[in-house]
Amino acid sequence: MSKEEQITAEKAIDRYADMVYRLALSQMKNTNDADDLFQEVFVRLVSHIQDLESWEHVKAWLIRVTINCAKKHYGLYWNKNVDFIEELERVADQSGGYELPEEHPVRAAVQKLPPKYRLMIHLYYFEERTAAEIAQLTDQKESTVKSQLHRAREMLKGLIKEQY
Amino acid sequence: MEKYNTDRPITDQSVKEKYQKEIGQVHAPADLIRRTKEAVQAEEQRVLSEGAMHKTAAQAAANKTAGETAKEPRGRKYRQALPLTAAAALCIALLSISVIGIGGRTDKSASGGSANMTVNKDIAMDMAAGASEAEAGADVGTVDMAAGQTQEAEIDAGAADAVGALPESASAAKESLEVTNGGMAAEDAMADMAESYIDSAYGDCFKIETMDDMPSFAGESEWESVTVHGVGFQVTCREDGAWCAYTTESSGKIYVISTDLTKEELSREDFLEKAYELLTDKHEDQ
Repeated sequence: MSKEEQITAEKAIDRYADMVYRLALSQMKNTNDADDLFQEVFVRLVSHIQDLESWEHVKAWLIRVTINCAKKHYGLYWNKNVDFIEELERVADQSGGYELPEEHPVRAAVQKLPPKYRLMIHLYYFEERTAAEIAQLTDQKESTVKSQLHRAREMLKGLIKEQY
Repeated sequence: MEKYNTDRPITDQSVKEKYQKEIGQVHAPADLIRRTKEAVQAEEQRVLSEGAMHKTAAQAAANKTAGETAKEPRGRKYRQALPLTAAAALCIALLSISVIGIGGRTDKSASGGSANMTVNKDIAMDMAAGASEAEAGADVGTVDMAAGQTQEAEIDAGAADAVGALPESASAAKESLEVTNGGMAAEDAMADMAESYIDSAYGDCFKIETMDDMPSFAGESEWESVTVHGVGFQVTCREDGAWCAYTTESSGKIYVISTDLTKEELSREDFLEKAYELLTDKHEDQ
C-alpha cells in the first residue's frame, strides 16, 4: 500500500459514511439508534485499522461489524418475526421513530420486514452482494441465506402489493 | 404516499431499482459525521497514549533484565501472545453460553437425557451479547472477498475482550447447571445443544436433536408421512404454526428437526429439504 493510500479511520468515514449509515438505518428502530450504531462502528475501527490491508477489506469489515453490533442491539428479536414488527410500531409511536419520506414506498415496505430479512434485502438489492458473500458476512450457510433471501423477497413483494 | 406503479408487474428487478433509487437519496448527516470524527480522534489519542504508557512500562521492565527490548504496542503484543489462549477462551465461552442458552430452546421438545434442564434466558442473551460484542471487534481476517484471502478467526482486541468475558460466563453457566441439573447425560446433551444454539445465535432457525425414544409430543399432533431423497419423515405444523419433523433410523435412533419458521414463512418442501440437509450433516459429523 502506497503512502498516499494509507488507510485511516477518518478517511474510512469519508469513503463509507453513507454505506454504514444506510445499513445502520435499515437495521435500527429509530434514527438515534442508527446514529449510535454508526458512531460505534467507526470508533471500533480505530483499534483494528492496522489489520486491514485494502479499502475493500475495510468495507467488508465495516459491513460485518455493523451487522454484529445491530444483532447485539436486537438480541432476542433477531430471530423473531411477529414480535419484532409489533415492537417496532410501539417504539415508533413512543419515540417519534423514524418517518420515511412519502416518496419511498419500497423502503417503507422493507422497514416492515423482520431485521434479518431487511438485512438480506439491503445487502442483496443495494450492496449487490451474492448469496455466498452474504453468507460470509453474516456467518451463515449459503443455503440458509438463499432461503431467507427468497422468503424476504416474497414477503417484500406481498407488502408492496398490500399497500397499493 | 407515492404509489408504487402496480400497472407494471412487480418484478424483482423493478423492486431492486426502486430500492436502490430510494436508498441512494439517504446520506449520513454532516453533523453525525463531524461528531463521529471527533469520537474517532479521541479514540486514536486514547490508543496512542495507552501505547506510549505501555512502551514506557516495557522499557522500565527491559532495564531490569539484560537484552530485553519489548517495545511493541499493546495491541501487537496481545496478538502475538494470546492467540491460542484467546481461541481456547472463546471456545469455552461459547460452550458456556450454549449450556445456558439451549435449555430455553429445549422447552418445546424433549431431548434425550436433558429434559429437566431449565434456563435463564436473560442471562443467556446477556452472555450472547457479550460474546457477539467481542466478535464484533474481531474476525477481521475472515472477510476479504476482494483479495480472496482467508485468515483464522481469533485475533486481536476482540479476543482479549472474550478472555475478559470468560470468568463471568463460566460461573453463570455453572450456577445454572447446579440449580437445574436433572440428571442429563452432560457431554452428549451439551454438544447437541451447543450446536443448535450456536446455529441459532448466528441466525440459522433450524435445530436437530437426537433421541432414543419417541418424543412426548409425537402423540399430540397429526403427522404426515413424506419421503425426501429416500428418507421417510413424519412432519407436522405445531400449535404455534412452526414446522417440526422426525425420522426414525433402523437402529431405533430418532432425529427431530424443528424450526421457528412458520408455514407462512417456509413451505413444507423447503423445510423438509433443510431437514434432510441437517440429517446428512449430522451423519457426516458422527
